Amino acid sequence: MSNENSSANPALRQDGLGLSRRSFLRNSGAAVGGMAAAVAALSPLLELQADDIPTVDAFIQKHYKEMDEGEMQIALNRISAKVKERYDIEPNLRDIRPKEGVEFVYALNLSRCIGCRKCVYACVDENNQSRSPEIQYIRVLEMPMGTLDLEAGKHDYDRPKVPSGDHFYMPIQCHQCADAPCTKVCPVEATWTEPDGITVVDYDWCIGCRYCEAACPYWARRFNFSTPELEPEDINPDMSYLSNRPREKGVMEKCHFCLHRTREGKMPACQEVCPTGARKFGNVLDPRSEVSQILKTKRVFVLKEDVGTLPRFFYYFDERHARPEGQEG
Amino acid sequence: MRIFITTLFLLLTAWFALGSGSGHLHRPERVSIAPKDIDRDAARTIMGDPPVSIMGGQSMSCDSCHGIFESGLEEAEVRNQHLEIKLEHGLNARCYNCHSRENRNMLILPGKVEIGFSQVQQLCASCHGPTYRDWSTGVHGKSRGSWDMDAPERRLMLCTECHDPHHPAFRPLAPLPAPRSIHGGSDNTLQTPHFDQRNPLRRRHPSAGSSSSKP
Repeated sequence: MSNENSSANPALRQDGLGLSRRSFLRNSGAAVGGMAAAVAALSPLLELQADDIPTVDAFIQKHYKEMDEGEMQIALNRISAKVKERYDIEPNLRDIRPKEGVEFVYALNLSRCIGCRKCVYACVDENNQSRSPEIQYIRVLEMPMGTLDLEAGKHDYDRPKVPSGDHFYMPIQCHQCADAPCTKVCPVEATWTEPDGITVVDYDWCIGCRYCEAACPYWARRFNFSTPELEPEDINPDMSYLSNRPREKGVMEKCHFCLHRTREGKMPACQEVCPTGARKFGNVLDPRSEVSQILKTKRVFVLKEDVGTLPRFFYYFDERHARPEGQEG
Repeated sequence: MRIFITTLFLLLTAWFALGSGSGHLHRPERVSIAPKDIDRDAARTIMGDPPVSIMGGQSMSCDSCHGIFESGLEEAEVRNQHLEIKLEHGLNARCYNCHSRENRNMLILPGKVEIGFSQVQQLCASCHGPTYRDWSTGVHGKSRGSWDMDAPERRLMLCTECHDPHHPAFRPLAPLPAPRSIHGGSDNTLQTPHFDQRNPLRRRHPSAGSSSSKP
């Protein structure tokens, strides 16, 4: 550089390399700029945490349906180790398969729901969703009496007390459709419907294209736009591969009827927390079950029946008008 | 011209280099929910059978007092004890409609048949027939333990585990916080005129307001 500056008439002089001062400056400027651009482009790599880099096990892991028992065990061990490393919690992680002769169905009594949103947060507590940004599988619509037009519903109602006398409340979550549009659009088959009727996501196979989110008529799918924020005390260690194990940034997730609970005979978290008994869950193939009785004796309906998705989530009202606030129940 | 391109290139470089650190998602402060608000075992504490309360360190059944003292009159509001109970059960406004006058450890059915407190659903059924029918098949009320009808841990909750028999209507309660959208705003953004114009369903709907009448 100093050599170049010291020469008397540098603009036209050619040195041994055939390089003028002007072209040198231009080229070196471009080179510095190019390098800076490359560094800038690669700079997100500096923020990579050690556990963001996939291990060999993670890289060669097969699709859920193609893994044999040994390969599944390797995957479970890898995920458990990661949970232990991140949250210092020993998870009870397993792969639970559907039961023979069981098809899960949900029924929700709109005459009983009071819109308290306990189900929303019991679900978050159970399923290790990101706390910030918030990911919630259930959203509760406050609907004016006398219409089922979802456009009239309000998500963010905030009152000192619920229910308000002139509204009813309509919780919406994944409807576990029998003809699910979300599974058809997935380009990598990372989501599918299981024999017991639950539509699941293989979080290790999802590429985050969000086609399924667009395809769902019920707005039931949630995307991890950023790394889920969870504190160790938020973690529910009772986990399964297809349900509530911690997710990564860039994958879809959704309600899975708490399959790590329900496939072992328990009730889903939202049913357990409901203070009014508006939520009903069971095996529709058992004619004695609560949901079979409801389908038999109540006037049930599904949301957006016209789109032909055949939901396994039914709504119904009791056969009487809803009561104004404070009257006998 | 080349100078111009080079300058543009350098400016872009600087913009990317300086801007690279600001591409992070803004994380709103997390909502904390008290564990009692999502307590899945929550239920009313119901009287045992026979009903017992602790008085002066001793556990006493109802009849250990009521068996000694003469019982009061039929009218609900003539009381000098149990003043904390406000009977708001519709037209059912008399103590002895449900409680046995002779044996206060028992409830009483309309046919003067005494039943224990653990059989309270029979008493409720004597007025609330359709609800009892639904309850007995699991359609009304809440079941616990398992969805599997054959599971031993499965149990239907009793009427009084949810309803206060002296005030059976559900008391309104404070809702848990509304969701905050990932875009940092409330869902009210969905109600803006801008949204209405983009959404064909919204425009067609008669309740969409003034924006629907625009061509």
